[in-house]
Amino acid sequence: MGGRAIVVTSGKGGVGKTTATANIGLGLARHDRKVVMIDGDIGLRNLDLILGVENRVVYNIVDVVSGRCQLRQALVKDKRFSNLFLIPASQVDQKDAVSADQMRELSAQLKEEFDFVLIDCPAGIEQGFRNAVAAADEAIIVTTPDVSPVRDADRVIGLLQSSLGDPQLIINRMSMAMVRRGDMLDRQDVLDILAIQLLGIVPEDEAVIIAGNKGSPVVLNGGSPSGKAYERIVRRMLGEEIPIPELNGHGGLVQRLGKIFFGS
Amino acid sequence: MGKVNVWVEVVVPQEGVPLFSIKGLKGGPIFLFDDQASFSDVIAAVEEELTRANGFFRDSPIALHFGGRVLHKEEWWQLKDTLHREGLLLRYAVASSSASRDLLYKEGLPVRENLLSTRERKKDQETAQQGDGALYLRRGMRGGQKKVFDGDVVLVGDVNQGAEIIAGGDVVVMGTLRGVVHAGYPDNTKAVVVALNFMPLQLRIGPLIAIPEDGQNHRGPLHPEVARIFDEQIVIEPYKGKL
Repeated sequence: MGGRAIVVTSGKGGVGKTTATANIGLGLARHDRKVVMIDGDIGLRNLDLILGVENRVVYNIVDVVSGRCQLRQALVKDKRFSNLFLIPASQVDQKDAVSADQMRELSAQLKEEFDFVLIDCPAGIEQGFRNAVAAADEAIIVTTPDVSPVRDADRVIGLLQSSLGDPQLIINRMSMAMVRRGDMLDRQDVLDILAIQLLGIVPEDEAVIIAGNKGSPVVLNGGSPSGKAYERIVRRMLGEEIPIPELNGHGGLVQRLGKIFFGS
Repeated sequence: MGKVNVWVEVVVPQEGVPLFSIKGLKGGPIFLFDDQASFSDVIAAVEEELTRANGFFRDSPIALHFGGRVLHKEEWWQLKDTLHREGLLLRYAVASSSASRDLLYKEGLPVRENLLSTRERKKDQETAQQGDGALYLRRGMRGGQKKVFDGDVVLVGDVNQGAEIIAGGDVVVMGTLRGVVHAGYPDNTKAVVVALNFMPLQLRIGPLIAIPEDGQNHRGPLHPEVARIFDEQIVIEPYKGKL
């Protein structure tokens, strides 16, 4: 039975693809799934840092596709879970060091052994993006609730729909305070434009930045709001039906009711 | 008719290229070629315009008007190549020179001495009703997508910012219009744009362009509106059930 190959993409850079990939990977591994993550950002490697395994990297994806090493040798085992692996990106090569066909083949091989193959996509829609998408059967789009990332996400969904079907959406760095002040899009604004299924919302949380700097993703920290959000996302991916809660902030539920009764 | 929103900036179109121009007739576009200038200049102008049109006329049936020009075989072949390369379909040609008519006729193209009179054109139009062969899309458009069609376009879905529709006729969006729409391309001032939620980034009808005032485009009214040209301006008003 083959695994699921999922690309985590966005278009816009810096919205949280790598963070999401790391947290989802760890979360799934914690639920006893066999997971491999591929860092698709050749030239600007990041996923190893976020996971805190940068000193364990020996071979990378370019070594694998060019035959300098066996696939097995490039798999970096996570320091917390023995069922979680990473194939790092190369830090020196360019995005065209790997082809879409090579990615597809690599993914096919990995799907035989792993339950989940998560591909961290680079920003943009050029070769790196095309490679990452080629390796996948499904997609998760990450965006922040801001106009520029949402527009890029829309573009990316348009590019993906014909090959991967409708992706699912993670809205990252949602700040209810900013939404209330009218300084940020709310979830309905985003969904009105992107019109795809919402997988989860991750609130703005300092803990994410700290976690990134320490190489210890928040999903492991059950106390943080963002960690809890990622855990819920992972469980939804595993089939559990968990409603997406209104984020903290007074009047959440009342506001919703208000909209239904009085229209606006 | 009541005007509701008058958009602030209306941009007047550039002068057309005198060597060659395109007019939109009901049956389809007609290319008018200057009949005095050197033909190689005319062909260059055609190529430039077609490049700018960016595939707009692909698969469009067009008519050619040579005026009094006496067309030579090599010139015709050159022109025919250029047009075919762009995927244009040729309906007929108009030429007052009988030598040109002979040549074109031998080349297999229906020819006329003049354009149809208004009465004949009206008859031509009756058989090609508005909405005939409209492009019907049962999905929305996302940023980066572009649709070009020389008739009317009906779309059931949203047109997101970053998407573009260029239509020779009307554009009807059964959804939220946030992208760029150009109805009545290139010069049909009777074309209209209808949308359930009218918030385009930029709106063009025929030769006019309108840009919404800043701030007008957030959370627009949720009732259908129609945009049309009135008094040489683009005006938008609520759609009351008929155009």
